[in-house]
Amino acid sequence: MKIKLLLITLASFLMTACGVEKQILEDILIAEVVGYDDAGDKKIKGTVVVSVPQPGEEADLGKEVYEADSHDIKAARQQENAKTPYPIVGGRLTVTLYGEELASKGLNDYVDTYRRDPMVGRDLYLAVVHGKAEDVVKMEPKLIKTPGVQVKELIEQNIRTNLPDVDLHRYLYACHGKGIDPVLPLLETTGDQIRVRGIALFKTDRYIGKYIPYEDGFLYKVLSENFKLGSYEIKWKENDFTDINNVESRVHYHISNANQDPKVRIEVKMKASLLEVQGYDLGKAVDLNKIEARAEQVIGKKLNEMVTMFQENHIDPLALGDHAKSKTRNFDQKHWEEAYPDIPIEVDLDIEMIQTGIAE
Amino acid sequence: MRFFKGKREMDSASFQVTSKDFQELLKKFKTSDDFLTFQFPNDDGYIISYFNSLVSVQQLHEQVLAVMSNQPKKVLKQLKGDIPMEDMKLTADLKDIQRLVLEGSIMIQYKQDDEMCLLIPCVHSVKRQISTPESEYTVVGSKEAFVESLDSNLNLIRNRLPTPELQSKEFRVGSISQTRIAVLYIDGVVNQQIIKTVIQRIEDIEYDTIVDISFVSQMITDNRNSMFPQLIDTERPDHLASVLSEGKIGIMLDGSPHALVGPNTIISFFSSFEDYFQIWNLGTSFRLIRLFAVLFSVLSSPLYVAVLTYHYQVIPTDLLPILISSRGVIPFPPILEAIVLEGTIELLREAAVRLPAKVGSTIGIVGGIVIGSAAVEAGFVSNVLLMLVALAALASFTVPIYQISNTIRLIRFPFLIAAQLYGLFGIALCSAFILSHLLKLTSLGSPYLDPLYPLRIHDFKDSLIRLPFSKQKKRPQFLRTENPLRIRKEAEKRNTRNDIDE
Repeated sequence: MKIKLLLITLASFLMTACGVEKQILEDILIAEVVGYDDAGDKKIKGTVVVSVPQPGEEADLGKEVYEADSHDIKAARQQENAKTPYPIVGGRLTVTLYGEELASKGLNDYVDTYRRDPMVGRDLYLAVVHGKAEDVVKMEPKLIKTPGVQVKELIEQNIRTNLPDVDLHRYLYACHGKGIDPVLPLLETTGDQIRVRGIALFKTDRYIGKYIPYEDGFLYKVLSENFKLGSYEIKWKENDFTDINNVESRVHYHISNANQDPKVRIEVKMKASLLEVQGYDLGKAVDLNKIEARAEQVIGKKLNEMVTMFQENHIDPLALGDHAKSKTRNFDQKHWEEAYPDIPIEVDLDIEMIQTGIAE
Repeated sequence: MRFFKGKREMDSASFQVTSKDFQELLKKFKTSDDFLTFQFPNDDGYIISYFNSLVSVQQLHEQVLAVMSNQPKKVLKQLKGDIPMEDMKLTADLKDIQRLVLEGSIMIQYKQDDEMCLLIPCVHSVKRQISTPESEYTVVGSKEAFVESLDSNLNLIRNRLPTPELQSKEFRVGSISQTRIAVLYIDGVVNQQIIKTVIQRIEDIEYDTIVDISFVSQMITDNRNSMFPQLIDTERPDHLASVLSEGKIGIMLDGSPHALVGPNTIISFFSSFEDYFQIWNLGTSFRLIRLFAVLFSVLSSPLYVAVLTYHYQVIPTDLLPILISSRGVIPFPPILEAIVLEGTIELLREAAVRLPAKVGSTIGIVGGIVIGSAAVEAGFVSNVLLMLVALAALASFTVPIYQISNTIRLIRFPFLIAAQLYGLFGIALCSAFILSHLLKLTSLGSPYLDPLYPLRIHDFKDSLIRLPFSKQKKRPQFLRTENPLRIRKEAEKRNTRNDIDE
């Protein structure tokens, strides 16, 4: 009994050294957005926005931008720390941005630290910036007070309609998986605003310089996942347009004979509604069948073009190879990769108009 | 421990039989000024002696002296027949004489130095009126509470359970105080093993004076060092009556307005008796709210400390600026801030309990509003933590049983320290320690975490949730009752209600 007591007291004294590193909330600088650009000479330029607490009744956060040039990201962080009163921590990083130039050289080296760091959440968004990443980082946000939140909410908002749901976890899966290539949101600055330009296309970790424009992001989303929002504009008469509003879209991939002579059929079923139609005859109801047929024709053509474009660039953002692999016994990866650019891929689109709004 | 043991045994032995012979006992009695001895009806009459502080003078006059006064002197045996009182005793046994006289009997001797005495119980005791319950007040339901007199308390219980199976076993505890203690149970329902355990433990009690039932509670519980109480103490006769019929036992002590109830599970400490007065779905919801309140009360400030010290990552983005700006001006690390504030709350509580009721309420206002807002303005504590701690204090008041609310008050401090040392991991570690302690704990031999571990699905009907009375067909499993059925089979068949059919 006495020995037990002695051991407990001793242990409690000795183990005071076994603490964990403290990071008290107000004694750290929380990085929100970080951007990396190519600085030439195998160096990168890191730009980071941290929120700086402003003591007082109102919950105001100032923002501060720090820059550093270095060969790798960790060193850049260290150099930034040389200018700050408190250590910069990355645990609440929401978005990491990469300049176009850096992205086209391959992102693998610059994502690696986020892959290894347990402090970084897997829901971190990655994005490519058309131009320099630092321009976006340094932008003064207008609507939202907290810096960094702007970009994150911009991406999150658009993921519902026009951007694929890509966070660090999915990016890494696509990057390291076989028969699949990642995509990332492409941002740009226009005047004093940040804007989503489209979807940047990657070959493994290299930005190939091509992107799907913002409007067509909806089509990419239709091809790649089941979702429930978004809309697309089509021209249905000479000078008249209508908006196809997605109510529910489902996609199925049918891949046959993957090891010898692959054939792919992508079946898209979309339930849609009409919320805006121009130039119809007031006396009659809208001819739904006509719009449906027109929409199928226009969108179907676009989808086929998009798939062909993927094949021409030897990229597979739809993860067709991955699907084939999961469906085929003794899948021949090499054969698939060689055959991929010439595989006949047929997109089968079926649009069903289920609503025309409350007017009729 | 061993050092004291031998000594105590000797002491208690010497208190049991105090005097060697009758003369010495009488001498001892006479030393006290409230011991009266006189001869009646004349100089040659009986010798009557008693403690006038214990004896009812009215009874003495009307029933004893009146019978003696106009009659020739008789032997004590005949006198016993003449006096119209119950439970008289003719004895020369020293032990009996000492006990009965000290309980308020009149001692009558035929002549001086006669060792044979007639003892007539003629107790005059000061009793408090039965009043309303204070710590277990309910809006609906009975407004009776136990009082200090054991007989009145037994009367309250017997009135509620008029069955010959309700039995009371009486003992005396305390070598000096010789306090009456009664174990109550319903024969044919209760598990005999529990009774034997309790009786054995009561017989093992060795202490000079037992003043209150809480002494007994501490002496007979399974784990005497645990912060978690294992016996509920109640002041409501209806509560005691209902748990007796469930198959639990009750212990009551003369001089204490509370009864102990056991065996219990930890969940019974969070269920108020008022839950049964409400419809079952309301009762269940309030029980769940109470359980949530307890968890919140224990964990809120430790979580604050852990998150602010180590885990800034888990704070939602929208909350971040609020937390940072409220923490910005505080000169202390979160742990000191939390301990200062928790300490203040404990101070206030302790002060409010000790002060008389009228001053107590002002202390609450002064403490809560003035000190709280002053501390925030002075930049000593952050207003977020102030809100959390105040809410936690409020939540801890929802616990219906006083003993466990004290446990909850204190148990957050080890959590706080663990949170400071290792963050969320520390909180998990501390929870594991407490959980393993609870797993080991028993209440009069029954598992303390009952319906949860060991898992007894049937006992869930009256634990975290309370199902309607029609579902409470069986008594709780963990009590291992001799008759597990509460509702007889005939009643079960009568599903359709026999309302008037027209």
